[in-house]
Amino acid sequence: MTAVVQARGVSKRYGSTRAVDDVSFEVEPGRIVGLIGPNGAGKTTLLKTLLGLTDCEGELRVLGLDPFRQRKQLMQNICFVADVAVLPPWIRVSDLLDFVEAVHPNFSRREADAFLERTPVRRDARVKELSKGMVTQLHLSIIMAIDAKLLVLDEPTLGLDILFRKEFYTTILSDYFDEQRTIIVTTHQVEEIEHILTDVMFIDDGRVVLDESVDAVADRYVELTTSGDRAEEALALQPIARRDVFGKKVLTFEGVDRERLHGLGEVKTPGLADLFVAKLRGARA
Amino acid sequence: MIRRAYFLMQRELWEHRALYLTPLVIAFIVVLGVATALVTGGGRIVGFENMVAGMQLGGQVGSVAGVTALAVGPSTVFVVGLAFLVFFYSIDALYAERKDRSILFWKSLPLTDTEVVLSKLATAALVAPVITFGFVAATHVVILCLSTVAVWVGGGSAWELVWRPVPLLQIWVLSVYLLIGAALWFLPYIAWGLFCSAFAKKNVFLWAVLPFVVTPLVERLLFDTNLFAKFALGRLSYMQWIKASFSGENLHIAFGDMPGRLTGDVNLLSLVDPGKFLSTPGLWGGLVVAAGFTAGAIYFRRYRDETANG
Repeated sequence: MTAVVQARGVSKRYGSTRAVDDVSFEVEPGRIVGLIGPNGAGKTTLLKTLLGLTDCEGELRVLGLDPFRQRKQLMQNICFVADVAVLPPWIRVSDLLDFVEAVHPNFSRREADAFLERTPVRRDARVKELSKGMVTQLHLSIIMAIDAKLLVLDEPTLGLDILFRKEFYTTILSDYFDEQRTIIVTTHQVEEIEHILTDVMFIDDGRVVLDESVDAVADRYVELTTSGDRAEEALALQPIARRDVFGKKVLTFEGVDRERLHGLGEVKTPGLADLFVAKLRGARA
Repeated sequence: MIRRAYFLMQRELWEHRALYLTPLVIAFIVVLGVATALVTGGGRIVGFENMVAGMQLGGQVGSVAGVTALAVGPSTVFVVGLAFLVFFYSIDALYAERKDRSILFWKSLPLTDTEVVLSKLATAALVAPVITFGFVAATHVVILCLSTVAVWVGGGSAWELVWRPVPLLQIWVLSVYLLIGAALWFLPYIAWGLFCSAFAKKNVFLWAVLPFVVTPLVERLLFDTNLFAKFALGRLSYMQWIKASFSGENLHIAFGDMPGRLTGDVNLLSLVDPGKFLSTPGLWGGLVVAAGFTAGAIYFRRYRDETANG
């Protein structure tokens, strides 16, 4: 099957700064890709180029289309939720659904209504009268009712409380995701999405520093918790990062055989947040 | 396609409720004013009987003039209201969605920037005037009904004194002609407003208005000419448009000698001269300018990138 996203040498400049710098990657259908990076790393800019919101250099195909020049066709098959893509505060819930139904060929009003039935969102309320959680539910009801091939989430749960955040991802996983559909997600709260991802991309300073499946990450990276002499021995194996936790040393290794480390302390697969820090320190050193 | 266009314009009405609330308020005030005038003037001061007697004395010509004035007069209030409404709508149309940050939501739907901008242009030039016309026509009918009651109280025949003399249909056809004409004539200003609302970071009002003040001054200072004032400001004063819309000779009768010497069977529609209007070079020059600003508005909505933060 052809890739959902094909990027070759994609760059985006703002003046003299390169927000996205010669990035190449592919995203296959049926994957959930976490795009992880610090503020200003170029995550949002990269997503914008994927969504055709901004022009870019290099070769970029999304669902086989040129996102900037074929935006309208593209948006029939992409859904997009971002903390900055706010629902208009003045619109009534029922009017909003009418509007989306009129302009979106792949929107099912029946499904959106069914979804909203399970929420406290009133049809005659205006968006500005709803709580932030209810606005998210309303937005979700629209997203879930659109038969899209690619879902792009940019900090979708920013400002929501923990219950809504959990519910958000649960809903997307159970009601939306299947092997034909693809999700690309960015968030600060890596721990919350870690267990649902199939792939991770680390991005720093406009460049992709890691692009792997979660399985490959588990194979390649090892975290060792150790202390004393054994720590000295482990340090000789050249970890890519080290940190101290409660007097113990936590070392991250890349491409080092787990068997070799077993005798040296407690071995496990690093969390994405820790791995991210390790990779970034390494890249920046 | 039509459904899509309909909902795009419907959306503008959901967002900018002033588009129908303003003419509604004007209609209410006009009707209230006419009712007050009838009750205090016609009722208490003159007396309905005397009023009717006066109307009968005025004869055919007087009735036509009086009733026509009663119908046309309020229209001007609506037109002034409409001008303000369209101006403020056009400078807000592409700015509000950036201010309330809903633009990225709209952009997450399969809509082109061209579609969206054109729907806003059509709302300003077409939907707003049509809505206002609806209220104008309704106000006419209500005023005539109030007059009918007043005439009845005074013992006269409403048919003879009110309904037969008033050229209601002509007035309406004339109004529609003027509204279409105005939309086309003033389209460059609407497009300019949309352009500013798409391009300005803030202070859209100043961006939209200041060039009209500053450009003539600069031009005078540098070149000692006043071409900008002649074209951009001369066009804005409605006289050019009125002159272009009507055939010259009849205009004098209608506007110069109102209402005393109006003949009984004046045909308002004989004043209308669409051929003259359509062959005015200024109309087409303006439409070219409007197309340019509209294209600019589309360009800015597509290319501007305000959330360049990550």
